[in-house]
Amino acid sequence: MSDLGIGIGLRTTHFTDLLERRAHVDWFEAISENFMMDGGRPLHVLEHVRSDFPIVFHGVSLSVGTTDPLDDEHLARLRKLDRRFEPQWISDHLCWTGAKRHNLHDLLPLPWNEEVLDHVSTRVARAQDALGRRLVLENVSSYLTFSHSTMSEAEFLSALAERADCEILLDVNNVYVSAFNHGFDPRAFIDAMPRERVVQLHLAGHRDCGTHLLDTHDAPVCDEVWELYRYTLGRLGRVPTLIEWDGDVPPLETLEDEVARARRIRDELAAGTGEEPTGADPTVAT
Amino acid sequence: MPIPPSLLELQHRLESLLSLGGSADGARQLADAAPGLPIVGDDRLGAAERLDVYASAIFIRIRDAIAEDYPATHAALGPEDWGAQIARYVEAHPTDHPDLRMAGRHLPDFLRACGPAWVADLADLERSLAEAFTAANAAPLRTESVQALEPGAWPDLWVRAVPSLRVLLPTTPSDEIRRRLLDGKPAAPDEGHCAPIRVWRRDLRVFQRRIEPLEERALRLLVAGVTFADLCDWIDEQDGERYASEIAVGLLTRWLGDELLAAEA
Repeated sequence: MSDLGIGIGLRTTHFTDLLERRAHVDWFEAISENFMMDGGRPLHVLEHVRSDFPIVFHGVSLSVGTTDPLDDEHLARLRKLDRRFEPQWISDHLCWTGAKRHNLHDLLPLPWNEEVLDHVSTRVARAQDALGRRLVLENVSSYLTFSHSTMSEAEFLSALAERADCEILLDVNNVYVSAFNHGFDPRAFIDAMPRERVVQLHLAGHRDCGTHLLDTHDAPVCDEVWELYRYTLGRLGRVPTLIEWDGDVPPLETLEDEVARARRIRDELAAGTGEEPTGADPTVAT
Repeated sequence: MPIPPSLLELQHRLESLLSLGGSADGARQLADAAPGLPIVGDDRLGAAERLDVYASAIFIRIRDAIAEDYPATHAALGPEDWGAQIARYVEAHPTDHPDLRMAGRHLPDFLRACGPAWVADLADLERSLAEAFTAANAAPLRTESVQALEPGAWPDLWVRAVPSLRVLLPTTPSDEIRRRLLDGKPAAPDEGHCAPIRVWRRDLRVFQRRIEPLEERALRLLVAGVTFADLCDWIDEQDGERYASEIAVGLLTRWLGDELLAAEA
């Protein structure tokens, strides 16, 4: 997979800026569902951005873990976006988002056991068949675990990637948040990731609620997560990285500062290994 | 040790519980249900509290997402009433669409059934504005194209509205009320007079305009499409005292100027 460099999420707050100037980022991640419309300004902005940058689509509603049937209409809309915008890849989350044909619009955790692994890997394979390409699945932040889990989330995600032949979006902030909430070692999670399957990293801010950490995406990346990011790059190499910011979205310049910080970390690590500095791979077709 | 529920059973039970975030006794119901669920709690955060993290976040996310599409309706009701109405709304219309922006699509009808007409009219207008924003693109029919037609081709000219057109017939001055609310003023629903409204998108911007009752009815014909000759006949039936083709040309000129008509594909 190409090294896209460091990107940011495409958010409406920045639409006007993005039409007026070229952002100092390497690529964009667009929330798939936000562009599943027939026309209007969001699609216009996405076309504009796509003409200058590589993009990926990141979904929040595929619900690979639900026991409801796969949503064929949703997959068809996703396929249409894929054909139109030719993203580098399409990602979603390892979670369920609803049942009884209701959508709770949250990324809900699953029990990590063989029954669920069978269920999810079958659905991921079907979704990949429908899309005609591999999916990339992300670990979510969670606030509860199930007593009938028989493996760790990291073991489950690795096994799923192997069984369904999908890839992994490793959200470093989510690892940190879940590790705090459930009392596990975040570095052990990173260590358990199959290097060849991890195609993207996420970084984001969270909120400390005292009893738990809440994955809010409304703040800068904290120092502890930057440190875990550094560790992750050391383990997995130069993986394309995306800065997420969804609540109280600041000016574009703030996001560009976060991108610059991620670049510096990657470049410091590259300097130690003799790799080229961070930036978009010039061979990537845009 | 009790047999753990199947994934299906677990998800069905959780879905019901996690939908309770806006409910007055949601926390009590979560506390009652938590001991029967295979959820790991600890001294820092018990099982019911962990469920509540999700239930609260789910309700807040849906409530706030709907408010984004209904800013004036939200302002009219105020934060507390808005929260209470949305809790009842979500119970009546559980979100069933992968796109969160669709969560509030039944709100105008819901409000019409349980509140004053002016609030429902306001929600209707805001729904139309939101829909027009993301409606399908369509190349507009250009004045030059119509002017280039031979006189004999006019009767067969096919006129059809762009997909973003919405025609509203409010019983209250919803556009004025909306303007006042967004300016931070009181709604004053009893002031002003109401008129039909058309909402449409031109290029990437959404517009709204008050229109005469005749235009409102004529625009409804345009949604499906109609020939210019049929439009003239229809106007003649509505207003036999005036020259129908003159009125039709007047409407056509206005619609072309506003880019309200779609060019034939």
